[in-house]
Amino acid sequence: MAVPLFSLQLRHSIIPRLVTIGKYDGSHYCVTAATSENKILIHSPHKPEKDISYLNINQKITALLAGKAIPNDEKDILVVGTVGSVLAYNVDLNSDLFYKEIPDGVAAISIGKLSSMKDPAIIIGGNCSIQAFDYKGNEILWTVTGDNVRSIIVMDVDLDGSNEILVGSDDYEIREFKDDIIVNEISETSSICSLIHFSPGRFAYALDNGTVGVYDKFRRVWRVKSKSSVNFLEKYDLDGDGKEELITGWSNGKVDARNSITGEVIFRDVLSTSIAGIVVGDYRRAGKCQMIVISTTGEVRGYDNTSLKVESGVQTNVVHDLLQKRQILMAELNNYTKASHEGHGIPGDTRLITEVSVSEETIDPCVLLKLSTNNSMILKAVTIFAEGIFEDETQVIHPKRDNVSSELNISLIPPKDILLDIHIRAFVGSSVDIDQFHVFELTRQLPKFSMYLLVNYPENEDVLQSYVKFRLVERVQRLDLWLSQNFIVPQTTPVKSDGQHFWKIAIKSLRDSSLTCITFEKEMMSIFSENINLTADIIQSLASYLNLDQIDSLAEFPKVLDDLWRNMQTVKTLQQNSIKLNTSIADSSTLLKNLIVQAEDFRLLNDVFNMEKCLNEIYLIDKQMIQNHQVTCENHEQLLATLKKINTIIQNASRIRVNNNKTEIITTYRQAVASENMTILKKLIESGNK
Amino acid sequence: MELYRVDYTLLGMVSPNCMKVLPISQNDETEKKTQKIIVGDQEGIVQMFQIRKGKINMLFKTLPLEKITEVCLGGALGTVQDKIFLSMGSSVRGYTKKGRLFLSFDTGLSEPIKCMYVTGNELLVSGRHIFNHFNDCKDSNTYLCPELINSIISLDIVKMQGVMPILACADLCIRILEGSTVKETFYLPSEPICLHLMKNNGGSYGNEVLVGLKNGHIVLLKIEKNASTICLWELKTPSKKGIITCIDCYEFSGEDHLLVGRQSGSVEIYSLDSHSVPIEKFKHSCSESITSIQGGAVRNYGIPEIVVTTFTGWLFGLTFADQNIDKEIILDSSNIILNDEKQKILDIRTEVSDLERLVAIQRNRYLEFTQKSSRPSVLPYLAIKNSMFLDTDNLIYHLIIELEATIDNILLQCNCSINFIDIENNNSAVVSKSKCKEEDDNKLLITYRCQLNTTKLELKMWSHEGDHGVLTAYITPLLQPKSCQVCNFSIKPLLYHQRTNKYVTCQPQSFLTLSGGFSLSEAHLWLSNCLPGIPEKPTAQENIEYSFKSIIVDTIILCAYSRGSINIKTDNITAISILKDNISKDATRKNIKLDMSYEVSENSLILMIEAIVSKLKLDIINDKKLKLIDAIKQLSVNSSTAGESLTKEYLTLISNENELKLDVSQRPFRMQRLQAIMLALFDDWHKLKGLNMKPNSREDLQEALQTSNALDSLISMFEL
Repeated sequence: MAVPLFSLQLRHSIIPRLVTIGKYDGSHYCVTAATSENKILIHSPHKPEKDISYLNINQKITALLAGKAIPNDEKDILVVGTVGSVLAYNVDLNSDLFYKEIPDGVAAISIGKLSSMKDPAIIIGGNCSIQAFDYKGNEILWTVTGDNVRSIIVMDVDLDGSNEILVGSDDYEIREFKDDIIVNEISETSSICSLIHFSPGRFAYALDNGTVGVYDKFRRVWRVKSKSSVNFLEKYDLDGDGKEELITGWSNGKVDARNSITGEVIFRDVLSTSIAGIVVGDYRRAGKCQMIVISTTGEVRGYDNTSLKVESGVQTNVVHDLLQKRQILMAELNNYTKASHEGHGIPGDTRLITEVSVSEETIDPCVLLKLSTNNSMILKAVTIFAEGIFEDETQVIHPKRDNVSSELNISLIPPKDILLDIHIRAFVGSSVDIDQFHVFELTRQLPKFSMYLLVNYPENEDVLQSYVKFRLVERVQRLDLWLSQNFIVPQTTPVKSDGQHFWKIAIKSLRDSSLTCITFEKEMMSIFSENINLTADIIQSLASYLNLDQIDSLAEFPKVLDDLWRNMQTVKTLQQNSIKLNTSIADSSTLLKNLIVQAEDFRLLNDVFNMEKCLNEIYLIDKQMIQNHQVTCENHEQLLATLKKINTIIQNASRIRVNNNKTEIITTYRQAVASENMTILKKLIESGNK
Repeated sequence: MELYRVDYTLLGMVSPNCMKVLPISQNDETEKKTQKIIVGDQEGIVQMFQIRKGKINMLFKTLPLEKITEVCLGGALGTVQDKIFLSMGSSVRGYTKKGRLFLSFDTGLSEPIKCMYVTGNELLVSGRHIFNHFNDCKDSNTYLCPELINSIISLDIVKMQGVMPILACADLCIRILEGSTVKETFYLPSEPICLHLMKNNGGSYGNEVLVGLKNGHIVLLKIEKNASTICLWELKTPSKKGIITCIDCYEFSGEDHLLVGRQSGSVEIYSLDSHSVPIEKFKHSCSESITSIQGGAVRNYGIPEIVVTTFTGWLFGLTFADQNIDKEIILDSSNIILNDEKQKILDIRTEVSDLERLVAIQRNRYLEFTQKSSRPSVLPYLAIKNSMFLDTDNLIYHLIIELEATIDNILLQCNCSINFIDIENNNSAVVSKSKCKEEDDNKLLITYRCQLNTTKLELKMWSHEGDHGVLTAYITPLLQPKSCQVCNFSIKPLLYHQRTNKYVTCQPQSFLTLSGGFSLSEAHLWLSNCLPGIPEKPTAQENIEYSFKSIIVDTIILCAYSRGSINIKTDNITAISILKDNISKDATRKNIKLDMSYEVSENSLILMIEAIVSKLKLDIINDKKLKLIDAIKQLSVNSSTAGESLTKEYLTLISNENELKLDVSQRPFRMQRLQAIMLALFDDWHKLKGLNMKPNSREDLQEALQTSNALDSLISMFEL
């Protein structure tokens, strides 16, 4: 166990992730954290007489960050994000810098200089959106992204001398924005809950499923997965070698430090409760920074390089590892030399055969994985490891004793259209009741659009009203290749093509059995689909496969437009509702206050009857308020969902084209949505410009 | 205080208590040599070595024979005990410290020897049930124990003026023999696992024995010549520390110390005294279960050290770095060690690379085989040590799976519902629960993906009494060619009952009697299908009696059976229902007709309800308190103002929060389980009495079980 340098108690429960540290007066570090009572606690150890001060924030706090945002000022400011607003606050002067309503909510905050700007910007991420402000509160950037933003950092990933924004979101993607254009995307296996940058060009990430890892530019260097989840990432040079280690705070109270290049653990400690945050600052005025760990119960511990236990020598580990390696080798050798050919084994030439198909016949249409052995050996059980398609990481198929055979069908339903690696592990044996099974391990890949069934092109072409059309000069064979790489293609392909001039396919979604037709005729690609998301995915996939950097398409999505209009109207009503609800809550609370005073008066006058009446009324109003509150919550949820829908539509609409000025369009979209200008919106979707 | 670990070597698989440190001889003493270590492994190889400059220096090594099950040191009384005795199969072999075989003796035991003890001319051996005593290799006494024998020992034969064998038995007692008969049976709070003489010689009167128990406690017993036994002290440790696997006593720095090794991998060193409960001085924990522990100066002359072996065969030393040993010696020697270690590393490196080459050749050969041949391939079995045992403090079962090689993953499947409690600190495996399809008859499918270098997985689980089935574990080691081994654990319907001693004071008032044309062994089998802790075979008696205690509601079950009849007495009405259903199911399967009669009395019902309610009340109140604390904490703005606005009662509540949380976490899910037990009791009562439930009465009961005030009048909800 490590020895902490100091420890103290804040006596408050701290919300995980909402911890930061700032030098608000320009020289002294203050740990700042959000408490479960929606207050912000500022701990200033340099003021012994009044070391804890509070800030009341009446909304639920969702993000917190201190940093230098005022140009030419050494003092840090504090940025507080809540479910509906952002506040930039100057702690030293006790004054607000700015306050903005953010209907999308604030899930992540970052402060840093963006490429084209001289001064630092405050970047916030919310419900599918990213916004940047300067310190006065002027909006300098607005863009949309795939899903709810969970984490944002500003760093120079590609080492071109100017900073990019890295955004981790709920759709498992890490996106790199250069100003406001997406220049790169990395798919991960779960929501990205934390990001932190290392220099140069390296960054670490943490996922909801307990994975921590490091990327060097866009190449993953290492990753580890643990069963508990990550609450906080920080960097700190713990061993004093000049290189910063990745410090991880886990939900089970563990803290560990890993070498950022190898992932090797160099330090470990355990706190009694979940870690709320880890910050780095000079808390003892020692002239150098310590690593400060804060738990959810308010326990604070500080560490520096003196906390590392001096191990007796690396040699012991080397000996240990070598001996272990020797043992493993001996065991393997034993496996070969002592393997007998008698008893209940399996024939040496047993093979596991896999077959992937798309099936509509099963109860739920799904991707069907058929496993079988090439002889009579049985499949006792199969485990399938794949991230992102099951509730947990593994799915087990263990048939009933009587139903065990040499064949097994497994249905897979990937929830999203992404490329999936599926690791299959089959327990193969000669009979059901033996106590040793051979394990066959193999990996299969499910293509991106595996949940779509290729069907015969409809004969009577009642053309769908929604479509995208664009010019494409390409050979049909290349399209065939694209198809076979991105779809599960049956042996007899229902592709309608003459091999040269026209090429037609129809795909049926297994999720909602809607039909999408893709035709290529006379250098014109047309995609007929009601599903704008799928259309956009197909176009992006085609563009990247065929190396197209410009697709100017014409599109028609009447239903999507209707949807957009309807959603915009819903937002309006929901916003009105919210105002109404708020006034009614305010009314009730004044009423309550009066009643309490009245009840107290009656009590003093010994008027029990009237007092009871008052208290009863209080009880009723209280009940009503609780109900009101629930309605408000629901209303808010709906509002968020609708806003998300609008953002997603805009995002998809921009993705049905490929070009370099996506953002301009997004900005135009946003203005159009704000002014409810449907004609512009229609034009935007149809042709991509006003 | 902590200990510092030095790895010496990785042996093959070594059975428990098969590593001993030889006492130092006069010669070595004068030459300032270190003590020698003797190890007998499961391949049958005996090797003796010395640690010289940190390296293993082999003194002798025999050829492989049969699996060695125990190693004992002996010799003529009064001399240095440096003769080596080991048991393999049904024979005992003796070696001198030079490696010369001087004894090879076939005991003629019908079972393989499991335990052995040697002192002077006396040799005690036992298998699973048979105990044999030889004097000068002549058979002198035999005893057939009805229960499993876990360990044997004899008190000091000189001081006690004769051989007094002591057997640690699975039915929670030690049996003290005189000749071939039991003189005394002494019951203990938990199953005794290992026996060791106090201070290695039985104390000043030679009559004190240390007993390591299954629940992790250690007791010191004093046994008089007339076999009357008293307990001098009991060292109570939290049950999560785990089963005791080995005990030794070691004197260093002028004090006696107790060395304890556990299945959980924990090594503890206590100060030892007959008159007071030991106090922990040092501890160390490793990731594998400990198989033997010894003390001795093995690395540096005169510097005490603890030598430990683990399940997969690690042999390591633990040193007290902060002991007041001459600092210079350490400095000097550490310099030498550094250089020697380099050589040692080089040696192992070459060995490993040789092995790698060899493995590559064999791997190709195997690959070729899998390409062509259709002959079956059967891989050798790996040693697996698994245990499932009841933790009476926390009311849960521990499942420990330990493998000779590193574990890649484990798949658990069960056809009845089991709840696993996630324990963070004991394993770091990634858990993944899988959905169970109805038609596959699974209630549980979990995979554990182990992190690198894991050889042991420890899990905690609980189920509702009455549910029964088989838990199957598919254990896949990280070894090529990949295979998995299957282990089955039966989940018995009355799993939360524990064997208890036979002298039960109160008489239960409900009973179940079964009679019919079944044999004794059938009756035995049926009962052991329902209740845990029953030996495999029935004893050679006509009437067999067992008694059990429920660890959740504290009721007693008395079982008495003989050929053609089974009598069960208990107050636990649910248990009657479960036994009745399961036994009749078993009998029907065998086409045996049973005559069944039972009586459930109101007094039993009242007793049961009282037992449940008294516990449930506490749990519900605690649950409410915790919820209240959470709510109050939301109120408080900061600690100074909270004191003004809250009553004293609430303030004490908040200040006791941590203790309360700890207390509740001791009994995971007990509230929910007690509620389920009460509902089961309700159903069983009406079923056995043949009464109809009032409409909605079950729902009413369910509701009443949520609050503490309604509990007192629960009895009125039952039809009497």
